[in-house]
Amino acid sequence: MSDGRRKKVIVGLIVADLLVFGGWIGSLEAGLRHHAVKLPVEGFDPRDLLSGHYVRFRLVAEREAAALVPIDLRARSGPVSFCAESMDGLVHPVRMRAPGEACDLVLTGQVSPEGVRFGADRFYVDERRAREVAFVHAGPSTYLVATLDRAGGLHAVDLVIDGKSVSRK
Amino acid sequence: MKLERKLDSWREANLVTPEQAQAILAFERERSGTANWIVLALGAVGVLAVVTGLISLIAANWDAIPASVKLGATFIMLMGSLAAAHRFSRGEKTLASDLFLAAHAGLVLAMIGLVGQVYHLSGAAWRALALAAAMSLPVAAIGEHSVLADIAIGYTLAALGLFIGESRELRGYLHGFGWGLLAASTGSALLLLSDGLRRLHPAAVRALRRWGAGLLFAVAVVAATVWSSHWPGRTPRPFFVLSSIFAGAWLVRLAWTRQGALALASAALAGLVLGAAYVGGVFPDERWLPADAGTRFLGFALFCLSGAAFAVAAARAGSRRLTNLCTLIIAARILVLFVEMLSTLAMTGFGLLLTGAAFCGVAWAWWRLHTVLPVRGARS
Repeated sequence: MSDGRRKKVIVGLIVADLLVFGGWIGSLEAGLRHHAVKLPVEGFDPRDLLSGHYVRFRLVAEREAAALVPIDLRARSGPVSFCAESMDGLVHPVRMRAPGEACDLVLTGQVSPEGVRFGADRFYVDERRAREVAFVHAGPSTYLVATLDRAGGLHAVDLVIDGKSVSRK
Repeated sequence: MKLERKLDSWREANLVTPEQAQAILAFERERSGTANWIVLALGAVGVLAVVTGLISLIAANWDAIPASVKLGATFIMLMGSLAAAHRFSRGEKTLASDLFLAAHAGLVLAMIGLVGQVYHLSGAAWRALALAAAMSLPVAAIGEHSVLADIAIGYTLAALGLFIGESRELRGYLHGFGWGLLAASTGSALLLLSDGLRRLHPAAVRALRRWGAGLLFAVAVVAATVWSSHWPGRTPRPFFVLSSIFAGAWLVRLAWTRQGALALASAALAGLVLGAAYVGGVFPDERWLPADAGTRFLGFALFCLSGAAFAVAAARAGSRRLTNLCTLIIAARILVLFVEMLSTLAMTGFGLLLTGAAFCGVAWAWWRLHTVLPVRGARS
């Protein structure tokens, strides 16, 4: 390959990096600018991987949403939206969202035979707090603080376990 | 003043003879070469220690660093690696450029992981690797050195393996020897692709051959154990069909180009791998007895036939190193067979007789191969 063509490809890679990572980070930052809600979690599992210390959990909303999906739809895989309501400060899905239906809060996830997933099941924590988090027990005041974008996508902001913020410095 | 100039002035002043000046110069050059080597070695250790120390300090305070700084620094390194690769993209400096492109390929994966960590993203690991693979393909396309293609192939295979492992629909096909058949099919596909790219991209061809041959060799070693042991699980039929198609295509290609020894080696290898699936049980009612002596010897014979034919093909291609490697692999398989047979004193004696005779046979065949066949590039 000639030097000129090689340089053109490298310039193309610079543009691609800017578009891919710039666009990705930009969209994630935009998602965090929305109104924050609290979603209860259950059965958290502290993990320690090369990618960093993180807490793995399951949103109660996923179990509740799975029960709202008609049986014939559970065998399929695809996006699914729910209307949600805040009860005692915590958000719960209350019904599947009909096409065009206006809801105060929308939760969008993926349905598959394995259940409903809202795309939030881990939260990275400070290495110095990883041991402390491992000994905290989940309780009624355990929840994920997340923002909900217009499409109903979740963006994790903080994880509160037994009333204590995981991201607190 | 440099030593050469000093010696010239001393020679002109008749302080040293020309012979003495030459001897002094040779002595100093040798000493300075040794000193350079020591300086380089010590310097390399020092730089490695400093870099490792810096990484450790950053890692220890990782959570204290603001997310924006982490993202910004990685992004600058990402752009910097490309800018440096662009800067060195001139004729004789392509090695430096390719090294920066290789660093960029690694940084892409690091950046994806960092974004996932900062924004607490969940998702399948294969997606991250697939994105890294997609972004490393153009790098591999412009690379003058095969390491860039190695990175792209590595990312792609890892993404494929994770995708199949995580996919509910495809995971079932990996049962029994299914994963072995998938790996063999992938290896064959890479070798076929390397044949297609032979004139277009020699560096990528080298990487494709390495990965293809490596995968096939790993599968052959595992397949050899399937013939001699109770392999758990039954192999699903689709991967059996898929690997048969790839094996057929490869054999047709070799027959078309009249590469007899390589075709025989590949046919024996295909028999070994596909046979392993049969031994494990492709069909519910057709399960062989893997521990049966006949089955074990058939597997052993296919492995050795494949190895011997590859040795002949390597010798014909002029590679003494590959010929020796194939001979060593056959010898290792013979030793493994001896261990497999080792149960009673009588079997040990019989095994030693057989192993000794087989080793002598391999040694004789190796000698014949090197005297009869036109081995080119004997120093390779």
